Amino acid sequence: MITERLSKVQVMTITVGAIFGVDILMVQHYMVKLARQDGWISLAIGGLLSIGFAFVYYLLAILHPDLDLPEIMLKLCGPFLGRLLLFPIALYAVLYAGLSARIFAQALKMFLLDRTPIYAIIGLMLVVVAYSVYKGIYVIGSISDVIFPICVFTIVSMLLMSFQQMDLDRLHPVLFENTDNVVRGIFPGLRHFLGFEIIAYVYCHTYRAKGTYKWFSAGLLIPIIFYVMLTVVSIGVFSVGSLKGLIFPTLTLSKSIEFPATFLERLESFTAVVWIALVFESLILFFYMSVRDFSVLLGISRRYDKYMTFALIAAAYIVSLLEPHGIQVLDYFLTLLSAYTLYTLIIIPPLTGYALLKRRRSKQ
Amino acid sequence: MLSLLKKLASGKKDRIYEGTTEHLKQFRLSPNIGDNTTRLLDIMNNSFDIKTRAFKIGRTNTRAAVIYISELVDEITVNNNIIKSLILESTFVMDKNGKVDLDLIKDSMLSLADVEETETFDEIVLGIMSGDTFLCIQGFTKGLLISARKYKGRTVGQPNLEPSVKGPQEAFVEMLSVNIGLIRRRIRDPNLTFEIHKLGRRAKADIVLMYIKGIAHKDLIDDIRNKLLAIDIDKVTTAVEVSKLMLDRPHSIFPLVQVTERPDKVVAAMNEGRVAMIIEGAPDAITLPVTLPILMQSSDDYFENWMAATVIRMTRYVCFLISVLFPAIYISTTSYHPGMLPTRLVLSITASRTGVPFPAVLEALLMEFTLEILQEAGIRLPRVVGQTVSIVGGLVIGQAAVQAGVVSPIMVIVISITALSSFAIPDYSLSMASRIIRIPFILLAVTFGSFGIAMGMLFLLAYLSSLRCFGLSYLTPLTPFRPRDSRDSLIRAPLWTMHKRPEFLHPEDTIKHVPPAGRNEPNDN
Repeated sequence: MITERLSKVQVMTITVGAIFGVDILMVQHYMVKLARQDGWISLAIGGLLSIGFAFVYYLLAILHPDLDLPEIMLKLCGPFLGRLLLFPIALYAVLYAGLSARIFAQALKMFLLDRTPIYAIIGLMLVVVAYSVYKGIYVIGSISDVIFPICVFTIVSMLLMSFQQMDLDRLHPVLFENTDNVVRGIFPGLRHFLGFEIIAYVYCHTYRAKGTYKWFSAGLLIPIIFYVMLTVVSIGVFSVGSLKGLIFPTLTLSKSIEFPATFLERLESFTAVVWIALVFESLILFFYMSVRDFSVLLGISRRYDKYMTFALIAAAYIVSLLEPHGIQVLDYFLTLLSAYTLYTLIIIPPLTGYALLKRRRSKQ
Repeated sequence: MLSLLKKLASGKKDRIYEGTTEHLKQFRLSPNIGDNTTRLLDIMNNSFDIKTRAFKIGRTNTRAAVIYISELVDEITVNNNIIKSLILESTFVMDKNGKVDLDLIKDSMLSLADVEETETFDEIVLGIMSGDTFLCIQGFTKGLLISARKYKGRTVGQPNLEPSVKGPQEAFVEMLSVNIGLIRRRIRDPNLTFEIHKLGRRAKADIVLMYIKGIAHKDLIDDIRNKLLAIDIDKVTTAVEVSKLMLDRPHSIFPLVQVTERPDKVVAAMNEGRVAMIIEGAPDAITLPVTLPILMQSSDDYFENWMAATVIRMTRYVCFLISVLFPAIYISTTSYHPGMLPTRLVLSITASRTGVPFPAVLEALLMEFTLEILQEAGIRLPRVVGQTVSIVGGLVIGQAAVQAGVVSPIMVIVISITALSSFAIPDYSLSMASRIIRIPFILLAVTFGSFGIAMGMLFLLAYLSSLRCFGLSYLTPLTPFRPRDSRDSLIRAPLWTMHKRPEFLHPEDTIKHVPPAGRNEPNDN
């Protein structure tokens, strides 16, 4: 009886979920490596630029309110060129999911499950991811809805509890003989906010109500604020030198919080549950994107595209275990993010411009 | 005649309705009442409880007979209002030629409310089986089905499964008419609609669809009605069985209907725009559609101050989580992450486990199994003995098991808290679901620690999000989040703030009450 649509609030939670991912565990490490104590400035500028880029996707989506990104690409570029341009995007989503699952499994092994094999951790995670994606976008929306407040609460609590350990002097000097590094860090900063392209996949499932862009903007701003705050707090707590040596500073930060003389002295296992939830949500959203991409690529109708999940899960599992060296996986991950950011910067804005032009012509 | 029936029946072996009343549709009443009574008795296999009484109407030679099932009718009413009237007072109903007129008998003589003309055997047999009295008169190819039903059953008592501290203390019984009365008494609205349907090829049970027209959404009613009418089953005894045949996810471990024995709960559900169903012979009703937050509500929530009700309701949610996760968290913390606990507590746990031969997981499973045995035994045994079992099981076996070193005292505490938490869940089926899913969580915890628990929770979340009850998401209004409807979900907001009906049910009349202008209601709860 009741037909479902994603709500405007879900647009926000889904956007946050897609942007947050395994990056939340290590974004500070990479930003500090690039711009030292001013890493947070690069990240903030990169984040603000990402909002502009995200709205290019949003514009593309609202110009085609009943289609998602792969369908739009095929519609605008034709079946051959459209598929050709879509293929790298589809491939990216699977590679991203596989690599981030691997990185997260490594982090878990390092902090929580030192005796559990990586293949088992990834296997369990991907099985649950497959089930969620198989159930469809409305289930994914519900998962985002539930995970969002828990994660926001945990991150805010963690930040507040870390303030007492912070030394603000570690953030000084600000922009002193470091402007070049800050500028150099802007593009890498931007790539940590990838995931906003999810709007082009979910907009067609959303209630056509005014104000969706407000919720989408909120979804873009929340990760920027949290990433910048996490970087600032991490620099303040660990210092630039130590942060360069910590691959997963967020996990270290949560481990450093102690509650002496209470029922639970340390909360890292519980905060780990939140990181697991965040990475999980990001994985299901990227899997959803890849399922849609490959389904359109292979001409599979929406009715049957959920079966594509199983094939892609197997592919992501293989990708996650291909490289034996953990550090190498991190490099691959960052290279992938950079390549994808560049590719979409080249492809998507012209495509949106073309769509706008087409719309104007059809109106005339 | 009987051979003819047998011949007809044997010639149609592929009919699914063979042996039910459907095949009797083709047989009509004969003018000879002897043939009719013989045929009816044959159809009903000459069962001893089927009574026939032949007599002559008034001072004429017109013969008549009544047929009924003695246990289902009020024989005094049959004697006084049917037989006696026809024998002694029937001269008033003769036509001008001194002949008996069936219409006059029906309209002027039988002082009973429900009298229907009938002519086919399927209707007659079904009527008699339902408790009607059949009157046939010599020379007529029509008879009368007269309702003089009187069922024997228990009186309205207190709810056993859903007790409440305050508020109404009445519960449904097995008699449909009594149950209908319990609801009618609470809603004096002409829009309160009861649709009766027959269900079950053999049982032909009366099932009543209840809703308030103008509140419940038409599409929802149609959807439920269509699914109900599409059921083709031999027999059903409870409304829950019916609901299993109507739902899209019949294998769901979580209850997708609300089963209640409280009329006030059914009334509240209908007043919100939901639909209820009740069946003859079952002391409970079901309400549709249902969501997880609805199942966590209790009648007491609305009889208490909103702050107290909110705290109690949130406690229930915590209890649900404890019921599902507590043993798993204990195992995961002690096995994988003991560093989380204060050193003294770790030492205390270690000391209490000294001498226990089993790993924590086996201990937990053993205790869980014992608990399930105790619960099951407590339910199956008579109440007096059931209490003894609880004492023997809970105290003697628990104490003895600890002293014998089979389980650690801390595990007894963990399992006891878990069990108590499961009892705090208001819906029995939901409580049962929490007991079942506890086991996979224990296994995940022992294999993957807190990561396993997290993945289990995410799987559970995906599963719960995927459940639908008549198109309604099981986690509504928590997700998709609806601020207005969430006033009666995790929390119970003051009643004056809930002046509109839940949006997710799409009620046709959205306003529940108009709050007084200016401020809150005087006796705000």
